[in-house]
Amino acid sequence: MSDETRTDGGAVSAAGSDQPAGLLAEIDAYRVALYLGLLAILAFFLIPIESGLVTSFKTSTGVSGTLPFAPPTPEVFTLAKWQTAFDALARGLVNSALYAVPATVISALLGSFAAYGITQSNWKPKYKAPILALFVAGIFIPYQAVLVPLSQFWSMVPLQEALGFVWALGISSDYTGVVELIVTHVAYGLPICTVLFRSYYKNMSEEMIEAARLDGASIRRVYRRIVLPLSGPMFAVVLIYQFTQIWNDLLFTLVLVQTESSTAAPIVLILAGLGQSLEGQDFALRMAGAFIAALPTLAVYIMFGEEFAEGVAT
Amino acid sequence: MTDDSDRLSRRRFVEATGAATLIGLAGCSGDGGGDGGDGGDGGSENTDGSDGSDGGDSSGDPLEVLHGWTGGDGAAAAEALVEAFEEEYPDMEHEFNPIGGGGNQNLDAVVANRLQNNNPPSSFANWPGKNLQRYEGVLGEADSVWEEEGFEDVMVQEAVDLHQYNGAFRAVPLGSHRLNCLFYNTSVVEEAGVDPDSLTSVSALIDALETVATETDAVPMTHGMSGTWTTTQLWASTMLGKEGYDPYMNFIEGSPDEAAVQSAFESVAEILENYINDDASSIGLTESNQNIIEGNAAFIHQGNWAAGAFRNAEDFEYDEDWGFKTYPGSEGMYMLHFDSFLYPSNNPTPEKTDTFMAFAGSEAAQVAFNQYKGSIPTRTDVDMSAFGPYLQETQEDFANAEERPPNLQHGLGVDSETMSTLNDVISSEFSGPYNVEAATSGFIDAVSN
Amino acid sequence: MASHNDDTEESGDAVTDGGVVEEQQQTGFGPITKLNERFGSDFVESSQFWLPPFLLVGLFVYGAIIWNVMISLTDFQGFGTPDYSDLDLEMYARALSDSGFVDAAVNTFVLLIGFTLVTLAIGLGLAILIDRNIRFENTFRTIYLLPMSLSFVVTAQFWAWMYNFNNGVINIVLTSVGLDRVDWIGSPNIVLWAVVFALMWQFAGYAMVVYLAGLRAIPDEHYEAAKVDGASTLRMYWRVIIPQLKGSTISASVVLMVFALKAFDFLYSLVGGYRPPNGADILATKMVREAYANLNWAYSSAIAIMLFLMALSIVGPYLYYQYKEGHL
Repeated sequence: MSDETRTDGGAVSAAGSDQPAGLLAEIDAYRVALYLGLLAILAFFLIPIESGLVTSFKTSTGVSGTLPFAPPTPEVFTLAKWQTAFDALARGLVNSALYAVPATVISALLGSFAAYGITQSNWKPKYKAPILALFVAGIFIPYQAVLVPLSQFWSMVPLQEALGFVWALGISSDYTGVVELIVTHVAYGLPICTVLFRSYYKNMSEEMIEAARLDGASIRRVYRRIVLPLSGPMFAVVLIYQFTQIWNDLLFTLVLVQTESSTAAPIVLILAGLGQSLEGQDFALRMAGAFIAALPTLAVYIMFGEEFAEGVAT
Repeated sequence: MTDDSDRLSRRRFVEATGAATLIGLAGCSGDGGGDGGDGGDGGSENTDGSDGSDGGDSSGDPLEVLHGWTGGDGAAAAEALVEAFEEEYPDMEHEFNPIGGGGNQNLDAVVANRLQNNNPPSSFANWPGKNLQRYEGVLGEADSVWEEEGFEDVMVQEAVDLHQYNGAFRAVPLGSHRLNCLFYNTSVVEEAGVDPDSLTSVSALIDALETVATETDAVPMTHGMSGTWTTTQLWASTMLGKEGYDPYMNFIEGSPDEAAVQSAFESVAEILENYINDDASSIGLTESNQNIIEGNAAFIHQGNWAAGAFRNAEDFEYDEDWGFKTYPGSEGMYMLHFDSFLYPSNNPTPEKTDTFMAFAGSEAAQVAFNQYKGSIPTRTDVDMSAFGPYLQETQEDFANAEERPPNLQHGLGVDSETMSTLNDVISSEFSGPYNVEAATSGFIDAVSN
Repeated sequence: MASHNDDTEESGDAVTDGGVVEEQQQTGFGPITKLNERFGSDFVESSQFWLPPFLLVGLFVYGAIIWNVMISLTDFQGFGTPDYSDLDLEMYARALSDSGFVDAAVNTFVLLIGFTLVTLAIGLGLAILIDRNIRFENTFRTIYLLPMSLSFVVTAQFWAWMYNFNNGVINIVLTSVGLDRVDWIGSPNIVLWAVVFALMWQFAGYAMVVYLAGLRAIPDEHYEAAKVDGASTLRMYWRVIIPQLKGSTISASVVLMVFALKAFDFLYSLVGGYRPPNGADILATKMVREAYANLNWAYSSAIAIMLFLMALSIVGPYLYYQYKEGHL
């Protein structure tokens, strides 16, 4: 950082050192207001989560009889909702992981391939541009625009028959939906993966690659020996971003697996109907379920917050 | 060197696709995956647990029945049904798959998808009547079941009519709910000085609601309209009660009388504008029903599934704490609802399905199921001693009713598309503010042919 | 080596190493060479990397959209398969005369614009606050962005509870300051804004991150110059800084609009069903309901195409802008 200062507080107070003391006090008041404001905003972002968390530990009487953001008193404290929610969602946790993990890995890998093939190879930019444009535009397609053909497509592909040997092992054929989800998420996740990798490869040092190419290394070899090893940080970003997106998506699960009663039901599908029945809305149960469903992405976010921020900012 | 890298990346590729397609087979060698698939497919002697048996011969497949009774009364009733079935047919392999969520919409979606993919279950629960239209072309015939079991002689005529479509029986009824019901909290109406039995017209009902409003702190009529269906069915009962059987039937048969439709809407608007709970638009049936149990409200209009919640509530007894009145003006009529099992064509297990259908219409099944579900048998020759006093009275009303008009909101009266349009009209014109004119013309357009 | 080369040429197989291709180029035979001459020296060889993903995307995204257009021209509904022999625009006409469609289109538009503007404004405010050289910047930023990592399904649960009529936080706060409870979800005139607010909560952090990157890309001299000119802080931001955030604004608003188009997940989870609360039906929810609840496949495809065109009218100019700026 240069000595040139910005208009931020630190700079102003530095400039204020040779000013009268009254200004300093004013600046301090300003800093206090700033931090109070930031804390108030913090509260705004946390209150829905906090309210959900305390509610999830309350009995039904507690839910209607205490303030929604007050912690449960001993009389209304219960872990039963978490237990019920976990029993309902445990299967979903496994099922979601079954497609989210492979789909994330495959789409990141293919995205890296595609970005590399388009970016770090020597062919005419005027032909690259339309291909790239199709990838970029693919990010912004509302899924609704492909849903009907998608379900037509999967009803025409005899996937369930083809995987007959898997079902013969005693695995429920409901898991056909999980396989469909993997392929579908890979296809629709590819554009964003490709674009993320492209922005990274574009800024990669070309000298090393050029040198390797001049030495007669094939494109494939350059990728394996130079590009892939250098892609680690971007893989972290893409994997985290993709995992979050795939884990969180409801629409495809609704179309391809359809019902929370399915053996293969993903967690978001079960959660969407949890605690809402003819017996009434059980908000404590819904909150506990929401936290269980959010835990994997929250854990990823807390561990890799920087990469996540980078992923969304690109 | 090149070959080496080729092989390496190819192996990696195989691993990746292997992970994608062979869930749970991680232990197998990547190369063997495809072969193993063919082998397993051809010589499968191990077809036990796996369902989804499409197109195969019927002998080996278990009976598979889909239904939507996943919670509370419904789950208990379904369980009782399965037990009764096992008692009668201990050797038949079966899968009763409950499909929950979103009312019946998940069930409908799953059924639709499987029918679409030519992978039908043995049978599935749904409504008969006009609702059968949406399964045009994918329903088989259950004529032989009806004939062999003599169902035509023991079911009411409306059941016989409503289970036929395109000249054949397509389904078998299991039980019936009643739609034109008004339930009340006894102590609240007593406090207000209202005698529910004296309410024999919609205008008398509105007067009574006014009395409750002035005499007590309770909500005169509790209503949960987070979904539109409660308002649609309230309109239907009001139409039947205020305008009578013929105008109601004319409406569902596609030649509506505008004045009658509008007059029914006016009454419903008067009720909804003045006498319902503040939070009506954000609550559903259950919370609404809770208002009766807790004594926060005097009246509720619902199908008699609402009585199931009263029965499950503690210290809340029929006649002492809650009461039933036929919806004012519709005395002597029983607005019909059926829970039935439909018969898909291209049936994976035709013989077992026939057996199950015969069972569903039998006394054993109907008693086992309905006493828990809070509905009544569709047969008129059933011993009702296992049922409580309320359902016994309902069954008498059912057997002795002068007219049994089909309901509007639950599949019997209009096809699913019309029903959906009617609910769109309620949603856009009649969810507060209540636009009587627009709702009237919307309803008329929806049913007119 | 030579025979290997021949094999490759015959089969048209692109999988080979660079040396071979170069050799081909020198000799100047075969379709590969021709392709490379036309498209560039690495075209064929690099295609092993970009072509399979491209085909996958082409098939699932663009193939599906074309297929969708075809279905939207049929009368396909119920069971069976679409009949492609009789194509017309009937479904589009039906949409325009369906008041439910018009309402949903208007709601979609309001949601798009309202949500995007509100979120951008809040996000910019947050970015400016965060950019004031504060302590614990990382902590603040992490928490502001946290809702973005949650699923729509999860945030819908939280906000269903926040907006609960009797016990929700918002109504409790309102009553504690002497105001009446508001039926946030149940009132057709309010519910859409309640949804906008909840989505803003989820995505304001995203807008903040984008703007923060934009702010930090502005050279310090610009701040200094404004200072020297005696601009007050507020005027400096308005006159000097914000105009330089055009790029951030454009890319953030495109992404936000796309998220708004995906609000289906949120609305579905809010009520646990296909029919959103009265007054909050958008094209995304109507399309799915028509298809999977009513089996009106052709009609829902037509709605989907119109939704797609809506998205395209947002994204198209953006892509063109990116292209002109040389980012593509």
